[in-house]
Amino acid sequence: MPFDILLVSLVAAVLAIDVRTIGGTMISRPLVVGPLVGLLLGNIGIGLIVAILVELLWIGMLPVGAYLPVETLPVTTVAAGLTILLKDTISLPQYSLIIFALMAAIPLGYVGRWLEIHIRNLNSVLSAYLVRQAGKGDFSRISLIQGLNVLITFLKSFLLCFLPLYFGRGILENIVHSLLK
Amino acid sequence: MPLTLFRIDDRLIHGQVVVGWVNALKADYIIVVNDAAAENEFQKSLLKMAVPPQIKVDIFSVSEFNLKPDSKELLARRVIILTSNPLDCLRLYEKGFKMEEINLGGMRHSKNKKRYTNCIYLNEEDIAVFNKLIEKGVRVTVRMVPSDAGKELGECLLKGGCALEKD
Amino acid sequence: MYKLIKRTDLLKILFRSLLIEASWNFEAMQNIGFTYGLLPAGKRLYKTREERAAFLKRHLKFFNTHPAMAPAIMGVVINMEERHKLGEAGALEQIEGIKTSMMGPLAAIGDNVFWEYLRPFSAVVGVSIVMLFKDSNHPYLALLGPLVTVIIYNAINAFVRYRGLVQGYERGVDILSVIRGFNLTALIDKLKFSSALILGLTVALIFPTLNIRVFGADILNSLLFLGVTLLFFGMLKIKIFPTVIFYSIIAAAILFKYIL
Repeated sequence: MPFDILLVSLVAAVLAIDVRTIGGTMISRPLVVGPLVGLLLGNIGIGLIVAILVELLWIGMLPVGAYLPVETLPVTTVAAGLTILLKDTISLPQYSLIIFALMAAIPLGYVGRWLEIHIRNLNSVLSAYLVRQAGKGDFSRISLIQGLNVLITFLKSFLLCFLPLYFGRGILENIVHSLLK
Repeated sequence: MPLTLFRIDDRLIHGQVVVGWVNALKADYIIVVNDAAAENEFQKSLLKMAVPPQIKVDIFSVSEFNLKPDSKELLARRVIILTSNPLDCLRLYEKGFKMEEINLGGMRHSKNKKRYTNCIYLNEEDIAVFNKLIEKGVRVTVRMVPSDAGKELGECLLKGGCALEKD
Repeated sequence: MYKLIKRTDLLKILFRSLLIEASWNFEAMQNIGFTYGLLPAGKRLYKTREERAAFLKRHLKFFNTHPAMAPAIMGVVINMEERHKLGEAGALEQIEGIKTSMMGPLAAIGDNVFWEYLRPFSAVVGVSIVMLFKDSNHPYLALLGPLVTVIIYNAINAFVRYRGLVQGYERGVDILSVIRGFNLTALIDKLKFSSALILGLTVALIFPTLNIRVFGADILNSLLFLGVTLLFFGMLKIKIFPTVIFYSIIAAAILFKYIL
């Protein structure tokens, strides 16, 4: 089970590089992430349902200009992941379980955006640094900082998926059980 | 219908204007008032290309622009006026274009400019010009896209910055 | 053309342009990503420390446009840089003005076409395919949905990026006629119409299979479904955020279950 969670989080983190970094080839949107998580955890159906719900929730959100959208990738990954991981231990109808998992996962979208704002502020500092150093005519620093940012995006999304999946499983199970009593 | 939006945005026509404001206000006429753009044919044809064909675009320099808020051309359409800096707004105001409200959408970072929101960077001169406009009774609201929570610039300046995101 | 710059350089730039948003920052936005994209040209054209320093200073300034439109601007910039290196007077001085003139309008075109229309359109097609096959005899066919979404979006994305870069480089500022030739407004009209059509078809095909029973009679259920849809549509229209609607439904459901 922990291996599954690790694998799903790694795949999600690779897809996350697309979100802002690559400027969108759509492979990081819920419609792709959800089914992929489902495929890896052995239930494509749940992945698809979660994907469609998340797509619909934020259908009007456009990443225009400096506006930062809520991050749908960790929401999709964690909601689909938790549902599939818990469906055999919690005796709830599938759709109810999906809704519970979504409720737990939605705040992650806002956490992701909050982190993103700080990363971009850090990049302002790095940009000022590059401008100061421009006189040295050294091209490799630009590539280095680009690489650093790809790494940061990867790590951010990996943690935002891995931690909630790994620790959230038990917590959500307890909450649902106590609600059902 | 009176003027729908008077905006300061140093990128003039871009995504936030076309996808955000034009759609939200159902605007059908964009007037760019900018000296540099008015004499640059390349930029002029780009600005005209940037919007869907049913929307009219005109580009004037500050001295060429002679409409008043109650001119027939403006009352007959839903108009967005774009300028790139507060000084041009003040020049327009003093020429007799007395706007009631200015939407401050974007002023990029450059040397010695201090950050007030994610997309507004101002220096002392900018602030002095804004204060003059505010004294004349113009409301200056900081708002990048229609879905932002609008903030009064005066408040923003006092606090040293403000956040626009809601939801 | 292609006097100093090689076709392989353009190819490298095309791939590097994918990372234009990687180091996005609030102060200068895509400046680092844009410069990174141009580096293969910078390496080809400039060998001395002074030339390279000047190159970096020129391009690390504020820049922001739609990612798919950035290659077109890169192409024009490389054209000017090459002309400068070949000794054409005045080429360098024009670069900054051309960059800033192009970025806003191209961002408007890109945001409009890609975010406003192509993104929802490709999603609608994908979701419709999923809905159609999800409960059919071949549920794995539902996986075609995401695949089709990615293919539709990126076919147009790749075309605009490639053509923008190559034509930008070959034609310089005459790129405008090419962008006009993309005829993006006609594309938008087609996308709008197709989205509505596909959604309508899906609802018509799916509705009989949904089998929701609240009142026991199919007609009443249809009316309930229609009412709820219209209610949500209205809520979205008056700018209530979907997340708020979502949580309200859950709260209402819990209230309904445990209190009433």
